[in-house]
Amino acid sequence: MVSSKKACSRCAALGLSKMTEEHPRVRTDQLVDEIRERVSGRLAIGEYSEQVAEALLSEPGYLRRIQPARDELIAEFSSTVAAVRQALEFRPYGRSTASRIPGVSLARRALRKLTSTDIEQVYAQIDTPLRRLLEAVQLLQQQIDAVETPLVAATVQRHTDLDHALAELRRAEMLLRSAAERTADAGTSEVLMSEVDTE
Amino acid sequence: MRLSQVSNSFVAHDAISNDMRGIRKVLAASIGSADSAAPSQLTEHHIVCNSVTADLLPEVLTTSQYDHQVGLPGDVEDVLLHHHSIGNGPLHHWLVSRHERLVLKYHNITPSKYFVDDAPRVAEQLDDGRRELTELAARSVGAIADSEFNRSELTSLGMPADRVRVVAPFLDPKLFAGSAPYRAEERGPRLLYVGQLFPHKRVELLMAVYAVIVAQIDPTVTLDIVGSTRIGVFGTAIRSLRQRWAIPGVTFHDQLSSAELSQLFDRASMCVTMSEHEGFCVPAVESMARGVPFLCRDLAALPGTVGAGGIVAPADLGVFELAELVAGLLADPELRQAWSGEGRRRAERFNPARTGLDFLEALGGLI
Repeated sequence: MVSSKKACSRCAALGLSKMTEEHPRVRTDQLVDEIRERVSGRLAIGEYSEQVAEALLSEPGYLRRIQPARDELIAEFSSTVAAVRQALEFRPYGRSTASRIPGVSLARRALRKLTSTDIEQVYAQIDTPLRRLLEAVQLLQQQIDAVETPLVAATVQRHTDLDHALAELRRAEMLLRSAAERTADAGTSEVLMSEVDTE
Repeated sequence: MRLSQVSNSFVAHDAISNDMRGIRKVLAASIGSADSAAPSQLTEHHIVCNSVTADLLPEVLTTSQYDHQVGLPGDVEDVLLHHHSIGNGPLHHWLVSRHERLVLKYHNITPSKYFVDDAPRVAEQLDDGRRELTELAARSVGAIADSEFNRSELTSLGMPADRVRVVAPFLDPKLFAGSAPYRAEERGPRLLYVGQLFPHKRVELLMAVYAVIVAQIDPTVTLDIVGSTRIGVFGTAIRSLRQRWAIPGVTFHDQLSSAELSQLFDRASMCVTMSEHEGFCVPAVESMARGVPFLCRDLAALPGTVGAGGIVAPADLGVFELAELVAGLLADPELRQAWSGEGRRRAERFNPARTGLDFLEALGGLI
């Protein structure tokens, strides 16, 4: 049998224009194709043990130090999350798992209160940190909404993006606290700040 | 005509020093030779460098000794063959002050981004190396690159294509003197990595791939990691992954004798690297020459060096897919046996005897 691959120099020297099916490169390429199909077509996080997934994704601060590995693992995990989402017929507005993550519900309540206050006044003081806070929570919500199973939700808590989002929350809190000291409407801001859990 | 090799350092065991020894041997045989391939009128050869261990001092001239012996600013008929891979300000200034014809031996410069966090001084030296390369490329009469990958970097700097030749570095002749036969069925599931522990080698990715293999596919697989690092913090971090990720079966080997390394090759099922930057990759040839199937990713000079002799995984494969691929090959002794044969055939391309002829032909075309 002849493959569709152009002959290597050694095959060409034997008068072949195409590699045979038995050529190790052809067989290895077939193996790669099978693997691509198999891995992309399943819930990788479910088929591989939770232990391994968590081991690879744990210690986000540590992985951050080894930047390329972190990026690769996050990319790998992101595709896994996407597969889970698709397979579970994701309900975009179903019950969120956000409340299970310490700090998130408090942050959301704080945000709700924030939007009911004179937001323009606060914006004038804390435009950038507030936007960061909103973006961070939005990112957090996207991450959380992308999964519904407790297994993946638990892993998501370890996701570096989540870690990043919470770091942004902490940073935003500091800036908000600083801004609150300066704003005329100190009372409103104090209430807001007291409800933002920085966990 | 005097031809002197110049480099940052000259040590007992590293790829560039081994390349210099190979060139020295070929040139020494050429002095006074009637061989048409040898550079005509070659009368003297030296190795010039300022960083050398005491035991190798008799083999080299420092730049000051060279200045004293040859004189300033040098004869335009003589040649300096400069091995370039990293920046070195004093050596660079010395090189550009000399009047001999300059030929570059380009081994590539690792992108500094890999060292910024853990070894900023090394990152600076690498950036310096890039700046120096631009100037040296403009001053040189030609260059010999280790690989097509390296050649393309030089031509992108403006060097005319016909002034850049590709010649593989000289490798240890003992590699080609025969090794234990590779019988795939008899080899245990042992993976081997050989190379320095540097960020661009992506050893942490290899360990993640290995973690998936032992946890989900085959718990009997082991991984031997052979290599030292000059960046202590990075080496410590890599070694700590073994505990942090709770992966059994990983053994780190710092300093191994040639015999010990041979033993590891003789027992290995496959040699694997996840490296994303190589100017050539000597361990790839070492593995292929010993008939141990070699797997790398389709990045930098690796596919060029491996050629048809090894497994080149697509660069976009993720951790799980790479784990499946490695495990798939481990589980298929017939396929590994076939790769063993392909590897040995490919490695013959890098036999020092052939490299010697290629080198002399390339050098003769440049000077």
